[in-house]
Amino acid sequence: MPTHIPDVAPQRSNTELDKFWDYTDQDELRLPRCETCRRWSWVGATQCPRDGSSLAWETAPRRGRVFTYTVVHRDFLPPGSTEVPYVVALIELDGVEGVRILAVIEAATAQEVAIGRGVCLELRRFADHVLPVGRLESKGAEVS
Amino acid sequence: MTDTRGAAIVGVGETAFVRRSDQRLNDAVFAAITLALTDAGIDAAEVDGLVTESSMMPQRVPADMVAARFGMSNRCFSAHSLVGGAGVVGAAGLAAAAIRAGLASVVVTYFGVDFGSSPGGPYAFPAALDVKLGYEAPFGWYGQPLYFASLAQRYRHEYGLTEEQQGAVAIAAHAHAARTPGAMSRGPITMDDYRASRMIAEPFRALDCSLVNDGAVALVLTAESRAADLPHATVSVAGAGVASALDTQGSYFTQHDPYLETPATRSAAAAFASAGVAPSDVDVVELYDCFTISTILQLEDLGFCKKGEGAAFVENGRISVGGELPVNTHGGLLAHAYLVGASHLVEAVRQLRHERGAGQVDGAEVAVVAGLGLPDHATVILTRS
Repeated sequence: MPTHIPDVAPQRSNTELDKFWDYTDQDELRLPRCETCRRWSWVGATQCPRDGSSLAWETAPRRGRVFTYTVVHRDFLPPGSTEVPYVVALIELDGVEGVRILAVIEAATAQEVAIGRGVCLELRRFADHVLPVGRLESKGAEVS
Repeated sequence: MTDTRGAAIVGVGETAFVRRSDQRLNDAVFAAITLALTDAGIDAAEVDGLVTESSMMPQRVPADMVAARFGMSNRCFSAHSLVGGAGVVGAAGLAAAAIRAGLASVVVTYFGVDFGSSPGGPYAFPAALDVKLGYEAPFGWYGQPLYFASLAQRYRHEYGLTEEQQGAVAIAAHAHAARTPGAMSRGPITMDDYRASRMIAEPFRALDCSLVNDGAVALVLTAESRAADLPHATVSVAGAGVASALDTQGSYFTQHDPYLETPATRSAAAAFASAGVAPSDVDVVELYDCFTISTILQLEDLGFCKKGEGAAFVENGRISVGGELPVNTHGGLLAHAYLVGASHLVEAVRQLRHERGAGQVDGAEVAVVAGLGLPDHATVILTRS
């Protein structure tokens, strides 16, 4: 059974989080990065947690690997948002150390998903938002 | 334990725990406080301190509302502890510290939930954080079972975790609940029942997950010196520790590193040090078991086994009453009721009073209570004096 993808538009929060979606709307995947130490931060950061410097949203790589995931059979989303099962994963992007991003994994079956599997992210357009969706690389490309 | 100005839990009170209560949340809290004061044999007018957690009660049942209801005109100490379950358990430690410091003489700690009857239940509560609807929900990363299922999945990858080990936690909880008056569990379960339970978020089935309900709990604390004159065996707050990860409530579940280590490592170390006891001295553990993996992670982080050994630790009846280290002897959040750690404190008190009947751990003298409300954690050590 192929996995599904939830359709839940982000609620604009008038915080840094909005920038993530503003960029995906423009087909860009960007994350905050320290202008001083060059380390990446998670999407909700307002300044670098290590040195307090300001952050700039820079283009992030679209390849990474599955750090962990769950196959959801009973969802807690607004009614009508999704079918199940769907797979949501925490992804470590290549070269983006210390930060994990979320991605829905689209797979022919949920059983194909595994920790360590390589994932390529594409930006999928829904009616009101653009969502990063991960597709598994062939097993030969697996990084342990 | 030799502190002459030590503090003790001298009264406990619980409402009925039901899926949906007709009682409003504040009335449930008031009822629990009345029961706890009656249990302690102390008049409400003597209460001069109120402590609760910080994420739900300040808005729903604030201290001023409680004081006004009971005519607590001598109130001189009020405080909020940490997030959720860490705050509920931490409140007992904070109340004891206030008594030892001379800031208050009789402190009530309280907590109640109406997750069973309120729209959205326990899932509506974190939605107040911008990150939930502003970033996470579009990925379907929504609802506490998913966060802990992802922890369990990573644990499986790093250390191994079998269906039978998860099931062992749930089976012990329901067996304990069956010996606990007022528990919501419908009775003991078998491994077949566990395996037949509906899948929620892999690797969690419904029986890996906390109950959802309404109810309230309160405790009364005062000086150990006075406790000797009160009705029950004295249960002292021998030690307490709190610790918080650097992550926020919004970032913890996606960003915390080390991912499988909770701040219980530090709260427990502080609590054991202040109590002057070691994990090997502990007779009974009541820990925050929102999901089966929570029990396994905290057994490790509290110091009862090494990281990665928790899954094997729960096997073969070790955590059952009669086993080497009984855990959640009332059934916990999985099988007793979801009172976010408050009933764990009550259960520890009853175990140390030796009033648990069929659920009694023989000769229990040292209990550990652990509350988790990430990014926070609290550990309290109680002893029978």
